[in-house]
Amino acid sequence: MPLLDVSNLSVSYGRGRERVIAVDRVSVSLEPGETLAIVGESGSGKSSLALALTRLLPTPPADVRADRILFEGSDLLQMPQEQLRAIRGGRIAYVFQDPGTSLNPVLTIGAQLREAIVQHTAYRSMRANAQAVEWLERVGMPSARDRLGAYPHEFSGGMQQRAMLAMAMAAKPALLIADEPTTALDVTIQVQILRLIRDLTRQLHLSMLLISHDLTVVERIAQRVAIMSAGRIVELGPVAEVFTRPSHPHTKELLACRSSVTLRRGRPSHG
Amino acid sequence: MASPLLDASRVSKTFSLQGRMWRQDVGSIEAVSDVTLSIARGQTLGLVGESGSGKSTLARLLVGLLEPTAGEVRRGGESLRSLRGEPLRAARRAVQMIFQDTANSLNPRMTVEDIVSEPLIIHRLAAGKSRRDRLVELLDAVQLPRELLARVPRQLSGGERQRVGIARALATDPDLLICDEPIASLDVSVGAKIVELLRRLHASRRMALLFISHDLRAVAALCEQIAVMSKGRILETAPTDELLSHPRHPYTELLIRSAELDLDAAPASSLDP
Repeated sequence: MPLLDVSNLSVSYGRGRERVIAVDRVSVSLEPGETLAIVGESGSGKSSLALALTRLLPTPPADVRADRILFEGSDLLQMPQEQLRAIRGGRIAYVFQDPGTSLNPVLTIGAQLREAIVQHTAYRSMRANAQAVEWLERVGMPSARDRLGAYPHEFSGGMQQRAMLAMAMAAKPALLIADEPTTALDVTIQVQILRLIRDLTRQLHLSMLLISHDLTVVERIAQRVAIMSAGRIVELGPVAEVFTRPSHPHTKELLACRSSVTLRRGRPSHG
Repeated sequence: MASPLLDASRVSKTFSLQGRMWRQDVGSIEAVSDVTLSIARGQTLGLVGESGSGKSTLARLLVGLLEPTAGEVRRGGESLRSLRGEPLRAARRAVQMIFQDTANSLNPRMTVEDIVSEPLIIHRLAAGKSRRDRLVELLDAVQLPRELLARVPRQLSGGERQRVGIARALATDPDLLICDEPIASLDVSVGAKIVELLRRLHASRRMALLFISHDLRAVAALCEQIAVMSKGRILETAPTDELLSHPRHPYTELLIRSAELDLDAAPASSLDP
């Protein structure tokens, strides 16, 4: 049984003649442990899709419809708000592009991590603290214990994203929705965070919905890819297949725009 | 030997930092330190570096928007500081710049026609009928339809706005175009078309390009030479193929691996302090 099974999801904003359709009858499913990438340019509807899955979009102005959004067997569309809130940040974790605005600026990293742990697991007080340290270590934070008292602004963008990932993972999710998680980072940091995300999803057998505009990022960490354009999925398949034999003109155009990944000519690439 | 189009010798720029209270100086930061660089006629030079490396500050020093704290920027061998009157105006015409943020680098109240005409008026390059002809020619050069002349920037897409910025820069027929992250805010397919346009303009006008970007892949695709910048300094400058195949500086090697997204070569823990 797939972990996530979305059928005919549509999202529109506004009403009447002002109505804009952001997502148009999209169906996707995700197996446990699988990474599916949603690729598209700005305005293609990929972020609306990511937010609509757990009904994070305020309605109105958004209007979200679907035949079903089945997650671990229950329909998120029918679920009472209370139960849904427990799933968001719990079984379904989010990581966004800008960790600076996703973290609470007036709470320490430790306080925010403990909150996530207490909210979504059975750990309390001392053990929650120990868990917080453990997760910071797992996301590659040096001298993790000393960082608990730090505020988000004391961290670089890369360290903030590591803290976000620690919070997401601490709640023991089954699905990670990562919306452009490395777009705001410098290239040398981007590659570190991508490696971390790939390693965590593998070790924890986590499913991931990765929203990205960067085909190379997708090639490195996703198994399947969906190409979105004007709210519709125009092509969906295994990464190797879509990249080598694209069938939709839009996919071909995106691939043609990609500058070469192998920079060193006449020299075997490392790794 | 003819003097280079533009050269900077041992240029530094220090900004003083002011405290939150009483505006007292609490220290200073050297954004660009001791940079020497030269651009020859018709050359394409890429300047690659991460955020905070000082590449935008360097661009502003080269174009003359900022004054260096130490060192000298020269145009055709003449120091920018020593130029006055018409020679200074000529030097300004010869080097133009385009920016990352196309929404804020164009006046929101001006139409495309006004924006592109402005340099023609200021530098008294064309008036009346010939101005109109020049305008149409510039729009053609950046492949924008004439219908856009009456529009204001917010009625244009990001890619169209960047083309307006390029048209404005081309108005003075520059020898060098400095491009500061011109595609960083654009969609991949739109950015690819802007790079293609710059490549064509370089070829057809023999205009030199200084292409500043954090994206080594884009820089390598466009430029014959690359300079790598970090913490205010230029670490190395080399022809593109040579820099990629035999990087001399470990930081260049790290940038190449990062740009190739070689995940297994990336450290598992943060290297940040």
